[in-house]
Amino acid sequence: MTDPVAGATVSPAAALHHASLADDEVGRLHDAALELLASRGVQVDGEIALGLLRAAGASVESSTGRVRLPAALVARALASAPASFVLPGRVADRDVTIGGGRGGLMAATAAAPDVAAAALLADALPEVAVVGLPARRLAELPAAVAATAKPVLVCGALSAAQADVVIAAAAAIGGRDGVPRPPLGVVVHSTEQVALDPLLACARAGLVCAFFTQPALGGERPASRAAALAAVHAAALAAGAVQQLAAPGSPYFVPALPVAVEDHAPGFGLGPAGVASFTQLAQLAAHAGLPIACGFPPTRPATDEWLAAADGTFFALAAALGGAALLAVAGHTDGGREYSPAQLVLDAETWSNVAAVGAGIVVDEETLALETIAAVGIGGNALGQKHTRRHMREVWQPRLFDRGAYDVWRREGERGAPERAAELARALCAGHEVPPLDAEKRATLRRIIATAGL
Amino acid sequence: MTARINPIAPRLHWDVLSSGDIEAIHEATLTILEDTGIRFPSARALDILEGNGCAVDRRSEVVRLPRKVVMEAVARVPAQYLLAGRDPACDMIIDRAHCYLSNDGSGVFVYDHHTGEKRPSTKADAATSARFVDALPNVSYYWGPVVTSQDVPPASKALHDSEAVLTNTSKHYQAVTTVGERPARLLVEMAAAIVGGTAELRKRPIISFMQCAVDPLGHDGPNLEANLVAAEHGLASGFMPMPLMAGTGPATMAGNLVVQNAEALSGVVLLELAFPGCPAFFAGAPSAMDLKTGGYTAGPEDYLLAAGATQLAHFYGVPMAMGTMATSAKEPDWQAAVDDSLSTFASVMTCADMMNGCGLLNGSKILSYPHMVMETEIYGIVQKVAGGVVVDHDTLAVDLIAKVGPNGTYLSEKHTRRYMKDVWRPTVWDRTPYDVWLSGGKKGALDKATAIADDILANYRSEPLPDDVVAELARIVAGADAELGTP
Repeated sequence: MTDPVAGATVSPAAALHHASLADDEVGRLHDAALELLASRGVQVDGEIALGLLRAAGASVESSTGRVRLPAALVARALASAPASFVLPGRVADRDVTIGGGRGGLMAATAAAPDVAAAALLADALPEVAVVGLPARRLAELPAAVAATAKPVLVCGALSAAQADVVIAAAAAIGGRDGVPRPPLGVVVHSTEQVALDPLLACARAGLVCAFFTQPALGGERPASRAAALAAVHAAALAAGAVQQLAAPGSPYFVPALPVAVEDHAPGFGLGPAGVASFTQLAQLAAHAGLPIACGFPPTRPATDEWLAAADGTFFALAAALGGAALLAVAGHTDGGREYSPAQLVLDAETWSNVAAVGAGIVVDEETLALETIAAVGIGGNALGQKHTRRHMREVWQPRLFDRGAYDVWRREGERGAPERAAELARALCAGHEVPPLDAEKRATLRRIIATAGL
Repeated sequence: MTARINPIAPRLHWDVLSSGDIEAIHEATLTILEDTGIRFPSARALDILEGNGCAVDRRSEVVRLPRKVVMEAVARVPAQYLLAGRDPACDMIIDRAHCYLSNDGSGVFVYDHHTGEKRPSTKADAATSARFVDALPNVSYYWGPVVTSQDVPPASKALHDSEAVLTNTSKHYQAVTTVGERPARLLVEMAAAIVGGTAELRKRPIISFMQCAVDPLGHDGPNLEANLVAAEHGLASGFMPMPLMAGTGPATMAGNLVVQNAEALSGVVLLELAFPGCPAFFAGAPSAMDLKTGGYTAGPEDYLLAAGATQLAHFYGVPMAMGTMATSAKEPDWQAAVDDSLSTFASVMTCADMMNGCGLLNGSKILSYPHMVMETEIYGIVQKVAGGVVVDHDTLAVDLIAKVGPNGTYLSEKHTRRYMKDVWRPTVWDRTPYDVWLSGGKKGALDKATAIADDILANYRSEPLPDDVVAELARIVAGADAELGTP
């Protein structure tokens, strides 16, 4: 694992995948999603979006905003979407490839008391690929961008005015030599209808974009998982298609939340169905040629570290094995109400563990080590072997897992991982240096925010 | 009525090793078996192997096994067999299509979850742990004992352990501390006393045996002797290698799998040469060395090794008993959850037939009853994940979705009522709304698991054995005390 102080993003490609849907099942679900778009349609909010869809041949009910998209329209539009692309950082070693089987965490800052401090810690953790800034805290964009050289994604229900701010900020930050795309993107979120115009404006400005609808609470999805998957996939296809109509070839990824139905406790899709849905949605996205990011709602309580850990681990594993590019929402618990640096460090460790699992087992002449096995012989020890020295550092090294003796643990105060994570977070922030943001650019960003009245 | 045991039949599968990888490791294994060999420190084992065409060095006790002998022998393992419970409702069919969880075993401490103290385990703890396992449907069989009896004569400890277990659970018992020919025969006698004779025991095998190998590339004499007794009586048995990357195995996972595979395979070969067609299995708990402590890791290598080793066992058509869970965490905390989740996923998704197991902390040393309950929750989650998604006309529900339309609700639909029951229901997992959780006192999984554990410990009673059988078991154990001696 890269020295965390260096801050570069480490996102090994997953060699292993887990397909929880057979190929024919993926096909059926995708077809079902297209059928839903053509027959039931979706509600679309946005004059630009409606105009594009109408011009492309969709059936638009102007009075209700209900749009029916023929399957051929969807396929034609999505054909221009890139299967993978680079979301650049401010410096090259913070670049993130979205799609292509590589993944990392999205560190959220929604509940962070200090966005800059949260972004700094995110910058220091190699497992974190991008930093999320909620749209309602857009005024803190200059501080966030200065505190991290990693890409920043503005997330939430974006208004047209907010989209304008993000577009202006992206232009101010700019790209770097050979990489014109700025280190800024948007994840637009809509609670009911598909509010797409702000997203389309960002796409036309060249920003990386994603769109998701919040899984509805308490029964707004069919009770069977297959139907729920088809419905979520349909929404992703619709948003992607519209974006491509607005800006063909623009980078788009599908953000997905777990899909499940709760019978007695309205809430997000926690539990096995939600876990499994990540790999399933990833398969569906891949079938449509779209990269995917997976977010899990941080409903886990901060005071139940066991539940939070199991919850987070299963989701991380599902995302990694499904080939998701990003896993959000690191660092948060209690329904998103609480952010803690310790939680971000814990999530990074979990992701690191899971990513190592996803890297799989290399089987070749060197790793089979027949000569070493023979040399060590029966009852011997491999410690002194050259082969061991060559490979021993490839074993995953945790920052937080305690593998020491029980008595030592008792003597040292029975400190658990959260406590050690908090300590590590402080140490990382104290020792970490972020490539500086040009002073003029920072001033420009502040002016943009001030002008917008944020 | 809740089923006594709850196996997993995974619909989904996860291949960590490709078919090419498996072939490569298999070939490497055969090369090691033929050229380097395996130590079998047992005269009886050496006789069997030599009599079947293996090259035996009596001085070093090393046996080189020709691939033809190996492959013909391993092919004799039955495609499926029964591990019976005293209660037939606890019967397990080992068929490489079902996963069964057991408790973890050979711990030496018990954690008092009320006082926070840990103390050495006793025979009474072995008994209590068997009663506790008997109560948990997600734990299909008893392995071990969970914690050993440290207040009894050491030489006959395994039989005291077994007496405590057999009188307190009607689930299948896989003994892992019974070594040596004589203790094995005494355990067989105990089991026969329960079912009504050794002939009946062959039909209803309520016990099986598992022994550790000696890494790298060796076995232990008394362990070999015990498993040969098991095989003689038609009882399933297997050997558990635990090669440690960079220590008793190469520092690469593939190389470590070669050592794991060679040891496990060689043990089964011996059993099949001795008693062709006897039920047998591979076992394993391969790991990596933690460079800071020299101990076992519990990390991504463990999960991958477990998955790979299970795939290899199934390549030979042999069931696998894989070390699962067995966290290195000191408490049921963040680390335990991460560790157990990934470990269980790896074992279930490769369909490890037997998964050993839940209940111990600190690298299989400390028994915690609430922790065992929490681990069974993780088992339940993985079980549901392994069931996959059914995609058909009814589950796609396209007509229904069109009918409900945008912004509608499905709550009152018949389709919803039909499928809601399939949704997984937690036991200790909290999914209540935030305000409800707050007003309920912020109870976490550990609190709920503690309450469940306390209820079982206070109130659950397993099906007792008849008095005369209990007396017979006690007689056998008392005889063992005298015969096997005390230090």
